[in-house]
This record gives sequence, C-alpha cells and structure tokens, in this order.
Amino acid sequence: MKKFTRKTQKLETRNKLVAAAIKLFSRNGIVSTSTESIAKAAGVSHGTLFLHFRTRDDLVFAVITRFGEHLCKAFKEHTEKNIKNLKGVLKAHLTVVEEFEDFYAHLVMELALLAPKIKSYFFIVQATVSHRMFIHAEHEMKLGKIRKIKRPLLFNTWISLLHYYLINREIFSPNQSVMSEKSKELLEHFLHLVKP
Amino acid sequence: MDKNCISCGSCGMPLEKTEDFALGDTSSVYCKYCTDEQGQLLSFDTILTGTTKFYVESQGVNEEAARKMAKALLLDMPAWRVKS
Repeated sequence: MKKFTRKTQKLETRNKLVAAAIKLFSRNGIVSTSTESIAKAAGVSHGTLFLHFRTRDDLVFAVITRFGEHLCKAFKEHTEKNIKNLKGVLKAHLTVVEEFEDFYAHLVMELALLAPKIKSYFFIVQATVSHRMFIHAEHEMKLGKIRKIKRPLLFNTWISLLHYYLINREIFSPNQSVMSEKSKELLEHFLHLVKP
Repeated sequence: MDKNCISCGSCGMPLEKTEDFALGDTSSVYCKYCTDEQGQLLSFDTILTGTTKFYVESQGVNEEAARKMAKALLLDMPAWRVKS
C-alpha cells in the first residue's frame, strides 16, 4: 500500500498541476491559458497553484522541463541500445516531439512572447539534441556514410524541417498528429539530404 | 539509476548518463560541467561562459545573444537564484 506522506501529497499535487498545464497549453496555447483554468483543471484552488509555483512563468518552466527530461530519457534508451547512428537519435527525438506535439508547436510559435528564462531553457534542450545528433553524425562522417556538415547547420536544418511542419500542422495534417503522419517521410528525406 | 532524467540545478541541462553527474554520482544535483574535480560548484562566470559556448557551438547563435540567454537561465536556477 502506498504511504501517503505530506511530501508525496505535495509531489502529487505538483504533478497534477503540470499535467493540467500541459493539457491546456496544448489545447489553447501557452500565453492565453490562465492560471485559474489550470488550477481548476487540476482540482485545486488558485492559491494552491502559487504554493507550488512562485509565478506563472515557473509553471511554464516546469512544463518545458518535463519535455526536456522526456527527451533525455528517450536519448538514454537509444544510448542503451548501443547503436551509433544518426537515424536512431532522430527517431528518439521524433518520438518525444510527437508525444508533446501540440504543446511543442505552441511553444515554438509563442517563444518570442515567453519569459527569457523559458526561451533560454528551450535552447538548452535544443543544444542537447544538437550535441547528441553530432556525436552520432560525426562517427558516420568518419565512415563516409554522411557528408561533412557543421554541427549547427546539421541541427538547424533538421529542426527547421520539423518546425515548419509543426507550425503549419493544421494544413499538413488537419485531422491527426502531423508527426505521426509525416515523421517517417521527414526522417527519410533528411537522411537522404545528408548522404555523401 | 532512475529511468527518468533530472536537470542540473545550476545550468538546467537534463542529465542522461551517470557520467553526466558531478563526480559520476547520481545523487548529485549538479552536472559534471558545472563542478570541479571535488564536485564543488564552479564560479558563476565560469558556468556562464560554458553555457554560452554550448549555445554557440550547438546552434551557431550570436555570442552576445547566447550570453544573454545563458544569464537569463542561470539566474533563475536553484544554484544561482537570489533568495527572496
């Protein structure tokens, strides 16, 4: 039986708030979602939300941190497979982007309107993706399987492709997840582009 | 090691592998890049420079803009946040 301590209760409430925020940010956007609606969706009072998060920005930060940590977990699982190839890293990246698709698309579209620390953290997460991509790409570049491409351009080309489809997902895939529909095609296209 | 990742309390980087943690100790709240060989947190300026470099090298962003982003992030992390 689960021991219900004050600490676990606090953690559960925090998790509920983060889950409610992800859901509402995904549906309505980040900027236009109120803290009142998040508290209501989580089943707690508005005041309780601020016992867990000093400010609204702290809650947004917690949500984006959740995305970064899921991405890290996907990369960890890829690393454990011990396959040194770029394709595996990109697949892991796509899995998490698809999992957070609606939130991520809003994040990209609203980034300029968000607090500097949120924007900074987003680019730290992107830096870890770039880092991970290049470790594997560099290995394949040495083997002549991939063209020599500078690290920022390798990542920026990949992310530009994803972001274009995500931002315009309503016209690419009006009735379903754009990542579930297009990710295979985008992955194959990108891997073709980087071939020697 | 926990299957979930946690983020460094100094620079925010998600910690993937055991060796990413300070001294390779998964109970540490900081990453290896933010700490010295004794596991002690490096100076704010050193970490600011390292984080700036991480932005520049990974995404080719302008150095001044990268430094500004790094500062905005670090100043709000548990290690560097001014307690109010």
